[in-house]
Amino acid sequence: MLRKLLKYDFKASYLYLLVCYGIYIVLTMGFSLHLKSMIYAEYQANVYNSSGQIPDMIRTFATFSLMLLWVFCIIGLVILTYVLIIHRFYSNLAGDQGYLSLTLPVSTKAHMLSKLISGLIFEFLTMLVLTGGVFLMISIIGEGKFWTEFGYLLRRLLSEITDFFGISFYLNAAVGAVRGLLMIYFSICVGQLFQKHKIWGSIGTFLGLMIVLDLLVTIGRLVFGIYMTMATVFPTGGSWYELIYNVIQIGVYFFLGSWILEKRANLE
Amino acid sequence: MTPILECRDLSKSYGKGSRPALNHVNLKLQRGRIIGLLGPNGSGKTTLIKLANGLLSTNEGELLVDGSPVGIASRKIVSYLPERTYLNMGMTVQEIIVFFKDFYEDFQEERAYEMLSNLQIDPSAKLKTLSKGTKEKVQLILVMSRNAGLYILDEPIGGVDPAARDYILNTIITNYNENATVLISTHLIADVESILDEVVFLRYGEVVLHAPVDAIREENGKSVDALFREVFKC
Amino acid sequence: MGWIFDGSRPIYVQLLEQIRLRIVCGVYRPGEKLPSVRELAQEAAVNPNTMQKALAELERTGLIYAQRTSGRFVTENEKQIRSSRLEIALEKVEAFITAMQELGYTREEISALIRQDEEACQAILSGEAKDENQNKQAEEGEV
Repeated sequence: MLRKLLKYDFKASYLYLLVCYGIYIVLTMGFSLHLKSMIYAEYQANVYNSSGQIPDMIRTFATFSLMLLWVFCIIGLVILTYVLIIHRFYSNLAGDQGYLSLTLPVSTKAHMLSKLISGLIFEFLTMLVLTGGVFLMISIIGEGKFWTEFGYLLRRLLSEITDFFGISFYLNAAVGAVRGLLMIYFSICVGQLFQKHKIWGSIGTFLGLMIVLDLLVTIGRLVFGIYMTMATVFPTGGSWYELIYNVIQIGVYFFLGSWILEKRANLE
Repeated sequence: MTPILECRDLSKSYGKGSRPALNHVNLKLQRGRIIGLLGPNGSGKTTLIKLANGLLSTNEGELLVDGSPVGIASRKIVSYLPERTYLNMGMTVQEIIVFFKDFYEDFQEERAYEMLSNLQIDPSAKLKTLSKGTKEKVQLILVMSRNAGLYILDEPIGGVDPAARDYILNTIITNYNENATVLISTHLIADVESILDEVVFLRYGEVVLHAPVDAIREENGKSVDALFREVFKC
Repeated sequence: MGWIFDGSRPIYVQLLEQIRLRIVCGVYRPGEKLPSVRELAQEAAVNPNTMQKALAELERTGLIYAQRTSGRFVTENEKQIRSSRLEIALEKVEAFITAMQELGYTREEISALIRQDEEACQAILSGEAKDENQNKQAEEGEV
């Protein structure tokens, strides 16, 4: 059943994402080509000492607006990914579609898992595309030189992944991503328990959770001397605390969230 | 034989202090019947139906479908038509048929396509391009194309034209079998009266009458519709 | 022949009457196989269980009979069909007479009206017949 659920979760959103990825890639290419021509023009200007003031201003303006557009596009892509993930969860399980989803002969844990996996994959894809865009830009500007650099970077990345630091870093990052997504889903589930203003209930739950968790971390640090952020304390074992802390949250969000959907459903 | 649906002292209220939507309801629905769930707005019809589908949780008492509490097993045998559109509007009729086939073992694809062609609905149409009435028809087709044990139809004929209404009632008569029960909630009693075996009257969340249609006619010398108007006179 | 139901009586009784009417009118001929319960229910737009009940009642009267495997048939006993027909006719006449009596006509006047006897009609119109009738009733009362 999970496979079928996943199929429909992907079908519902993939087209929007693909279109946006396409727009981002095209924009990145355009911006890169423009930058390259700028650099080339500057190079020529230096060589031949010919300066045209007005065209330069136009170029600068164009560069600036293109950059702004590009940055907005990156931010937009990140926001859109989350909007799609959250919208899918909300409309499919808490909105009108919930009348169908929640009456399917499927466990709510399977629903949660399907939304989690599809959401993580969308997050990962967006990250990959964004990084790919940056690489694309470098490769366009740097031409041949880029690929030797890229090979070096890849080797470095691989060696990092395989050492202990790398493993714990990426493991923590992955667990953190799961935790983040489940925290959003869990907040929506709790929001359902409200009789009115379910969306505000969800947002309130999310913010409330953030504050409480922040408080816990602060107490942990001040009272018990436990540091969560591994970047500063590694390898003193701080990351293990973070891992455990995240895994506990994941368990609570997942099982309690599924339980709410199953036993405390409250569709309007 | 276990009743297909049973409520034992079932209560539900939407928050403390508010009037209960269902108040200690005891009800047994047997197999092989077409049953009308009647009552004015706010009498608890939809609440009862949502509870039977696990879309709400009970406060008190229990609700059993085929002898067990609402869960995956009950969802396999209950075919539910809500009073709103619950489909993903971005999908085509065809896609939604595949969806039903994917998730319900008892879904009869040919039956669905036959009904679609009878009602002249284009299977390749996107749901959002269809009129409200047509969307409702598509949902009813999906629900009635299952070989379910209990069909729960919440206001199935509310928004459609008289010709479609006749077709829908006809569909209900033809598709249900001796082991299946159809529970129809409606306030258009006169339209459905002749296809019902029995009726359940709800008022203020309580069952005020549960009897066979012909028994009501025999005892009162009037139709269920007329009796309903009398009982619920404003 | 359509299926029409009134609100005051059980639906199965009305179904029974209308099927019986179809049989005596020859819509369903003697010895003919009846449509299945489901088909009949669909045609009449009624609950199949109700149709089943009506057919079971008809079976009890002997107007139709069931064969275990092949369905229900109209009786081949034409005498029984004729007697059913007469029964229906008498019921209709009785209902008609009751309605006419409610209008204030006597049995004699009713039969005169049925014969379309012009003289009698004139008499009724002028009120003589009624007076006679009242006199008669008065006499009867004295006796």
